[in-house]
Amino acid sequence: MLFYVIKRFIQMIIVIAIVATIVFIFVNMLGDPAVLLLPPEASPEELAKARAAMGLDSSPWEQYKLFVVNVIHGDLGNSFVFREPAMKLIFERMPATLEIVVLAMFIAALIAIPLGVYVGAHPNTFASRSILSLSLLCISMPTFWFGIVLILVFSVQLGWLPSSGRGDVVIVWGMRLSFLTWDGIKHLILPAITLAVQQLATQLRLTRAGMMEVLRQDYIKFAKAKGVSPHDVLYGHALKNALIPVITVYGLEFGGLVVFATITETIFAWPGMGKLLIDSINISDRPVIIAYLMLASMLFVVINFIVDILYTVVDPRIDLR
Amino acid sequence: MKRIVILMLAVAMLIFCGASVMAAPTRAETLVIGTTGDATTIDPHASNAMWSNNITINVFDPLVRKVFDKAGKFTLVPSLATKWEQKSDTIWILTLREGVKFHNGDPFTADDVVFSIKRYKDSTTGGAGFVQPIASALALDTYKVQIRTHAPYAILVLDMADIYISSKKHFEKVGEEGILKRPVGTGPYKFVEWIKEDHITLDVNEKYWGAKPKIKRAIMRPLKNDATRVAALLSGEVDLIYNVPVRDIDRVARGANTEVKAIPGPDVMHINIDVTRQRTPGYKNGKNPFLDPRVREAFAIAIDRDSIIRNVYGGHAYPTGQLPIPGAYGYVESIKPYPYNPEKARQLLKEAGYPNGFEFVWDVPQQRYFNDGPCSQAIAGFLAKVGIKAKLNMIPSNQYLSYINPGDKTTAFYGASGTGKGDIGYWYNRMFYTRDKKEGAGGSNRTHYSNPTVDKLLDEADSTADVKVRKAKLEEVTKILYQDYAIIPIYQYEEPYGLVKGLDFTPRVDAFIFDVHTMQKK
Amino acid sequence: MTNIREVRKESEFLLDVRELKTYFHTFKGVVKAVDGVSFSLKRGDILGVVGESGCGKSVTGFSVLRLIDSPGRIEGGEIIFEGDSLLKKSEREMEKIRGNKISMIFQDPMTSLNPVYTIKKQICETLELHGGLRGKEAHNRAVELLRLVGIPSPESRVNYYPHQFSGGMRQRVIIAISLATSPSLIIADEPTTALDVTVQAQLMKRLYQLVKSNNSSMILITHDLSLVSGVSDNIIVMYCGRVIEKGSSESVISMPAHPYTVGLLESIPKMTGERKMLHQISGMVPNPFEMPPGCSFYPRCELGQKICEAEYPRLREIEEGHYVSCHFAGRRNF
Ligand SMILES: Nc1ncnc2c1ncn2[C@@H]1O[C@H](COP(=O)(O)OP(=O)(O)OP(=O)(O)O)[C@@H](O)[C@H]1O
Ligand SMILES: [Mg+2]
Repeated sequence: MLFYVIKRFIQMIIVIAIVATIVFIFVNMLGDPAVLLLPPEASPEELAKARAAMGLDSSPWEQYKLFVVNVIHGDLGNSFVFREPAMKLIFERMPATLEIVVLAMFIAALIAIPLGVYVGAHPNTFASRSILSLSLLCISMPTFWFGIVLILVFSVQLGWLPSSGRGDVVIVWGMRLSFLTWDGIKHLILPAITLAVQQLATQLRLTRAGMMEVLRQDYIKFAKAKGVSPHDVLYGHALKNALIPVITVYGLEFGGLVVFATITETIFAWPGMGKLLIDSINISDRPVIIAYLMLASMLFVVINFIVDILYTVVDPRIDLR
Repeated sequence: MKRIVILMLAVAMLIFCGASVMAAPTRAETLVIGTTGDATTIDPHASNAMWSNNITINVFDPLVRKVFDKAGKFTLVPSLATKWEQKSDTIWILTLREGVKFHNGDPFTADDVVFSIKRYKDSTTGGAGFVQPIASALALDTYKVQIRTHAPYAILVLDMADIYISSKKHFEKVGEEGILKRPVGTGPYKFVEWIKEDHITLDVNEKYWGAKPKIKRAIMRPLKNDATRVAALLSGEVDLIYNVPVRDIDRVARGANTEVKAIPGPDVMHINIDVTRQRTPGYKNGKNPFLDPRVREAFAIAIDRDSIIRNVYGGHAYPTGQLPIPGAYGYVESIKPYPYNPEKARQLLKEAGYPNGFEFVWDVPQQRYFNDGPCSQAIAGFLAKVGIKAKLNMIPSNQYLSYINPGDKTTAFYGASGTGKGDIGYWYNRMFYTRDKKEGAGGSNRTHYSNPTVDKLLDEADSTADVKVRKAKLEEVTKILYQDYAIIPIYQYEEPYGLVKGLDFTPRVDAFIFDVHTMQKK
Repeated sequence: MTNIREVRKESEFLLDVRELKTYFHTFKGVVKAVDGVSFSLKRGDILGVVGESGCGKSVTGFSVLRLIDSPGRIEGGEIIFEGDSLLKKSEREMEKIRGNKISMIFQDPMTSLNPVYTIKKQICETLELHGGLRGKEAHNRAVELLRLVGIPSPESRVNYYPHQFSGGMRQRVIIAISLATSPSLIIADEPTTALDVTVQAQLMKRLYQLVKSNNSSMILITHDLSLVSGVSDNIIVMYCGRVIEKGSSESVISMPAHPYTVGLLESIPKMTGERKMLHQISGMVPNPFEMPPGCSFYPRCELGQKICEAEYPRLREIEEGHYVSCHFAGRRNF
């Protein structure tokens, strides 16, 4: 196990190094940050001064060497725009994103898994067919459009829920959290539902596929032959097996939402990380882009690691070497 | 089971130990503003970004304050400077207001003015442009400052309206980092908090030296998404929004509790073409066709501005024939948009030796300006009708300026320029002064325009201390550019604001958007 | 009430299956997997069910437990178990019978155990459901059962997962599970087919002993006539969903009457005696969607006559308790 952890850690370092390098090359091809940061009427002298201040006046190779040295010293650089450490900016935004993502995944799982089990177990009923078509609709529905519709219905027409922002927050260990106040919870609902909808559909279809596959297996029939009730057969014997492949997807989807919930965050003016990435790309805020994508790759490696551990919990056949 | 309960209790305890609940402000005394973006900094001297300026104007006082009327025209009223006298062509003496205190209690003095101007100058992130004409500032006594400009500069007072003063003492105490945490000014509002991408809160400065602001608390919320911003206004979550999207203007105007206030904004969309170089990068078949004035005229009159404004902007824009907006120095009342006349355009092309038209590359940005894609396509459509084939070279927004700025790739480009400052001189110098001839001029002359008369007029405008002379020279340039077709203005943007009924609000036509202390809620 | 009592009295059998019909309604058509099968089984007896692959042996077994999944359906017939008609019972009542009074051993031990649960959990599940045993009691019983089926050091192995066992071991676990509640009937569906030859005999012996000592009855499904000949009291031979011959093991093995049974017997390699080419039944099993109207074996039969093509031969008793479904059986020598 220890060996495994060490192996994964080394893997992570390599992945992050590669990602950082690729991203570094890539951001160098983005627009000139000085031009984007300064007003359009800025003079060439001003631009030159700004470039020097951002450390962009040396050759890309020099810049890269400096970057590597700094990273080794744990310094990912300051945002060109905010003049604050890039990592600090990202971590500031992270709790907001985690809040909607965790809630969304939770809502999705809560609905998708029982429905998926039902649909997988009774594929030919009218209800199953309706659920399945509905899930297709959920998948093909653009997040953007759906979010706006929710706002128009629940905020503008009915006035039940706020359209945007985080509402009242409670500060816990420096993190601003919405879910601990009633007003905050009201603000959470719409963005979380928007994020959850596609998740829900994906999870439902995965659970269904898993169930259909598992229900064909001999051990299910054997369980029935033992006199196990249909409910226990589905939830006790079949579900755990059906969920094995779902776990990977669940983990990756989680990571994906955390890092790229941009659209939902933008619609609901939710001050999360995804928006930071897009804004940074738009104005070529290189340190933030690089730090962000390094963090993202680290997140995925960690999620994969957790998924692997979960696998051993769910599926005893898997052994971590 | 027991273990789970204990665990949950422990978690709850931990949460509430580290918790402190934020008090909610009273809604009636609060003005919530929906902006289109977050501030990039709250340091007034570090940037010229719109939403940073919007904080600056409320937390800090300028030397001179611009006050706008309903028509969008401004007057200059004394603010931290109560008097300004010109001692010589390049030396000005400012008399400062006495008894003004910063939010932290420090008294306001000449040192703060000198300090602020120096900080602007040192900015590498966009602040330096505000004080570009100023060579030095010197404190003569506690309430007197001497300002020296590089050259005679007639419109220093306009620049003074954009110069905001922060506390030198405070800076010395807290340093760069402290200033980013809590800006301290003399303005009508005090900074409370900035939660990035969520909100910036400002509370009224009860000790403000001027007229007492009516609104107790102002909250700026970045609502980048158009539909969200409109929804927040319609649902009453915000009181005032910037930039109502064209498709929602009717909805907001007809809303039970909302209305729209729209005025022509400071930005003019235009096409610049290379009318100077013999060979030009965007034309492959020999001599630059735009050298022929008939071709340029054909280009200018082939575009039906009214149709574009109607179809692409839903009527929410104003056709124009010049870069300066009404009221700005350099604006010429008599210049009207180039008239739409496709037959004449075809005729002119034939006379110029292009009976079958020609093809050139037109550099356009992608989503840099509002509806730029549809607009440039519509323009290309009109040009095609008379035989000029514009090949659209679409460039991602964040690479656009880097692409066109060096001037070695572009023959014609699509751009926007603003005269929010109230004077077009700076822009003319950057865009039309011959390249590499004079330090600090011609830097944005991407089409290599070169006209000795224009250079001379601009030199004269920049070397007079007399506003009237300057105005006359700039107007002269505007007329020449019109005749030269070096720039083909298309339209002036409209700036539509959405607001709740009963809010007393006058839009500003400059780079500082919401001056909250001039507003009042019913 | 009187009716049921009558049935009970009438039936001296533990299990009495009459004219059982189980059809699969597939997209391509109806598969008559079991088409009018009748047999009966006395308490403590072992019944061998033999036949080629696909002849409906497993479906017959599952039908008794009413474990036919859609698109299959039991279309007709009667299944009387301990005097009660199983087809009239509710699903709930069936759950109480399955794994309790009737348990089943599946064909493939590799896939019959749930991979994500320990052996202990899977044995205890049955014990909890039907025996009301819990906790320590259940654990002890599980260990005891494992020891009974011959798993070495069961105390530790009870916590193993299925993948940690070999196929033979798993089948022992499955046998342990089916014996856990001392059922009156065990349906063993080819319990040894998937295993090594060496393990086969060993396991079969153990199963036989356990069934006998438990005083249970067993339906032993196999396509291996030699396997049943030693252990079963009676044999039924199935072909294309029908019983074509049945009788005591002795008489069926020593005096096979149906040409198909004869063919089956001849295809068994004999341990003793001279080397001889193994007999093979030529031809193919007919397409299940287009069953011939007459004898289903006719296309492959060496004796076939006109009548075989036109008319299905009814089961006839050719000697006491020995039935055969062939127009010519017993009339000619072959
Ligand atoms: N789910 C099903 N759908 C359609 N047909 C089925 C299904 N299950 C079984 N059958 C059909 O029923 C017939 C009998 O199958 P069964 O499994 O009982 O054969 P078997 O005698 O047990 O064969 P084997 O020796 O290979 O186990 C086969 O022809 C098969 O095609
Ligand atoms: Mg079978």
